[in-house]
Amino acid sequence: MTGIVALIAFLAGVLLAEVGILPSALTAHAERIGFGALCWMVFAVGVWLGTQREAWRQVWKVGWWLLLLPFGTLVVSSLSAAVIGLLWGISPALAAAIGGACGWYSLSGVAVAKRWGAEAGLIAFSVNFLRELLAFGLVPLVARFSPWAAIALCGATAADTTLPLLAKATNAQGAFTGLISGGFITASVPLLVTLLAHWSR
Amino acid sequence: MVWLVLALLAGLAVGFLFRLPSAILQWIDCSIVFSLILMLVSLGIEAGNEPKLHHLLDHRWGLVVALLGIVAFASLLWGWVLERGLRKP
Repeated sequence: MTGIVALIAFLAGVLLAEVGILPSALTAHAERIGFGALCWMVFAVGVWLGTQREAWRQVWKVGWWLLLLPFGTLVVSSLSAAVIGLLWGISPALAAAIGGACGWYSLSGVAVAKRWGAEAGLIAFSVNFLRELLAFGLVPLVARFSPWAAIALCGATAADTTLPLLAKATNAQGAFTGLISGGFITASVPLLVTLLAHWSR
Repeated sequence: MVWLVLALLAGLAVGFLFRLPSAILQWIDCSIVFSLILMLVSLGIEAGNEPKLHHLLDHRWGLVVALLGIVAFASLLWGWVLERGLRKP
């Protein structure tokens, strides 16, 4: 249900922008309004997580194995994208950098454009932006069968934008795992993109 | 990013240190859905106002869909396989 609401909300925003009935002041500040809402959401999830002490213990029990989830997500995202790059006739390093960004569209767009040009940057932005949207649509459905699959799909966004959705779709343990996984990926993406850019020179 | 980390840490501190009444916790829970909707409408407005995105999706949509599809599928598969593997005794 939350996934459908999320997609409808996004499409409503696109429609409002396309029709052009919004005051220009509102359109100009859409990014700030969205960021304010995101900050509140992350704060609210933090409050909720703070009350879930039993979940902290459960996550602690899993231990270092937990890091296999974000590390593997980075590796499989990069490698699978590199295969598509080979099949499509574009640089595998570029494709790996696009896939390895794991949904962090703002960083990947700029970082990829800097090394491979504006069009590549825009492709990186689109793929990662759509990955976040796909996560919003699929997480409530996927989380019923496998919370870790839902967290892996969210990639870097599991630590910020999709964290509230993970908290709703799974449980406190799932939200903690998402936070740790998303945090690890967020910290690793700049390094991965830089390494791939350096390697492809 | 700094603001998000601060917001999360502040939320964790409030949740961990204070015993909040259930009415407030329920209100916070509801506010998550409303802020999610507000954030996504804003994101949609931003996307709708981005002409370069339209142009790209018109011309390179095949590559974008292929990359998105394979990356999403591989991530889902990895999460599922790892979760199943760790559950085994």
